[in-house]
Amino acid sequence: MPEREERSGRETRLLALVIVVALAALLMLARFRFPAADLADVRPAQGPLERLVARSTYEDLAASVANLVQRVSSAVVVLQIQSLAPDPATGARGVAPEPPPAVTRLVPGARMAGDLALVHVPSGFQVTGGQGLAVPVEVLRADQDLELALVRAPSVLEITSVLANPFEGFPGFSYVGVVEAAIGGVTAKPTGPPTRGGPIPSSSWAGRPICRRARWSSPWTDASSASPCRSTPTTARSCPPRPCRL
Amino acid sequence: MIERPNRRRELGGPDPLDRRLGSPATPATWLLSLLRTRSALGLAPSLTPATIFLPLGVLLGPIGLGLFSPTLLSRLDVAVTIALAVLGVLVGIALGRDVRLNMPLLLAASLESAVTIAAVLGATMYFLASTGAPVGAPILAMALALALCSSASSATSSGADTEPVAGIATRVADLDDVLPIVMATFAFAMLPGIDTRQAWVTIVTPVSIGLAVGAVGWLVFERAESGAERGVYVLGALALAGGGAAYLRASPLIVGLIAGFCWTIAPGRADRLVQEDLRKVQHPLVVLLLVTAGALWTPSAIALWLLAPYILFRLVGKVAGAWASAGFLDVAAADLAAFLMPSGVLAIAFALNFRQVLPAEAGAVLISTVGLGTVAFELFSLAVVPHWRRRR
Repeated sequence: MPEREERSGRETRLLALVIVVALAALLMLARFRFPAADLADVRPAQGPLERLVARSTYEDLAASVANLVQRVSSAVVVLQIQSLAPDPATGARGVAPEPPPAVTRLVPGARMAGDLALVHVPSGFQVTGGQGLAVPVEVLRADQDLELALVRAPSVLEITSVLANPFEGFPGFSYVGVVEAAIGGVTAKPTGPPTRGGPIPSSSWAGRPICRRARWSSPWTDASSASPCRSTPTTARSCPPRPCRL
Repeated sequence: MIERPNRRRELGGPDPLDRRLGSPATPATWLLSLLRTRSALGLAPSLTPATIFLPLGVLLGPIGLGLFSPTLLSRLDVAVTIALAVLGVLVGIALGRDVRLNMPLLLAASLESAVTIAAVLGATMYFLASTGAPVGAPILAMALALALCSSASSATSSGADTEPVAGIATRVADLDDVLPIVMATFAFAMLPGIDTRQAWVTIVTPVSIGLAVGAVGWLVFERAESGAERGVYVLGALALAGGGAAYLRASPLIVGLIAGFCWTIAPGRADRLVQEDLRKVQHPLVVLLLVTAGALWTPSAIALWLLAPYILFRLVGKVAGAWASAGFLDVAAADLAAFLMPSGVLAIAFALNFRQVLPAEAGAVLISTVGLGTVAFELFSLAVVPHWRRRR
């Protein structure tokens, strides 16, 4: 009996000790505020069993398009083009008809070396502005026949103008994304698959230089090595809105 | 009183005569003997501790080798739900037997569980309110989920060569899961998104499913013409229990508990037949739960933040609960607390169940915290408790 009482007293002391220690630790830890942590999202890599699991095609496509936009956004600038005002023509009674409203569109331009960008400008349009630019856009050269314009469009952000995966070696029979300009920035539209990637001759291109500093090569004669958005200081490549490989 | 077979001899454990004579054990045999002394809900001791399979799950999961992708884990939810129903059945069978034979044991186990739940609930709510840690769910919901997970226990196997307190602790560990399962049923009715006017439906539905599965099983199990046929009936009943609970967003644990309780109190041998068949699949199910929980584990600052109150106040709860209930059981409180210290697979099961109904962020935090806490208490029980008991 005395042994039992001694054991009971020991257990009570153990209980009291545990409670006191726990409460003290809790009160001490509760004095701290939880720090706001900037945790970077880590996307887990696909495992080997992933391929065995049936997946939604649309989910894959949406993820691929989002990935493409993220990759090309640094190499593309959104520019605004506006239709040219028509020549005022005198009407039958000598009164000029009311001019049609100006049409404004957003088009993507391919960034090149420095602040330069090459953009496709349809006939009857001119470059009037851009998005995300540090200063107003400056048109350096414009060729109405080739429907191309070379502009200076410095971005407010420090960007690189080289795509991670260039266009070389496009095998065809693969989905591509057509990069387009939107109000919020760059977007991409999936399309394809194109049946092949090869040269397409065009009478518009005869090797005419558009810029004194750069020597242009026709993209359609060198399609296998053409990179729509890659630029070098000495050789510029044409960058009409062309598909970028997904 | 149901006589449990001496599992240690059947599994090649140490001969009781050698142990009494004090024959020296090598480190390998010591480790094997420790790893084979874990059991809960009548599960046979085997090499299935959380300290092995939780880290294995982490290794196989998205943050490790990536063999278990997030998509695969989401598809394992159904299997996890059925495994939870199986654990609920085992709890129900244990409840059905002891409620007839030993009501004080049930009350003592419930008291111990209630003390643990109250300790962890209060500490976690105070901690979250004071520190402002964002857990992605209401503080009460998160604290209650953590508290219910903390109340689970596993204890050593009981046999002719073990101490009497181990046998009592095993049965307390079996029965202290009843109260948290019942509380979880009511907690599900209070989750965000549940209309209060429909809360009674959320509470009654799993009970109805459990009664239905119990009735179906009672009618067909004993009428099976062969063991294989009976096995199909058992698995079908369990799939019905788990699937019904998953479809109606009810707790599979309460569905399994009701079904197991019905099979035990109903006339016939349905409970023994189910236990016999479940013995073949219990270990794969336990491994499934542990590996899945490990694969779902994600390192996060909030999980570490919550680990401190979880570990400290689970310790307080188990010691205080054992102190409060030891008088009903005529055992030493310290001995009882020592045997109830490891969490076992039931804590992981509760965490997986709550993860299915909590917001994604809160569920991830809960799994991570409970997983770390389970491993911590398993290691504590392996390394510290035997020395603690020896020095008394």
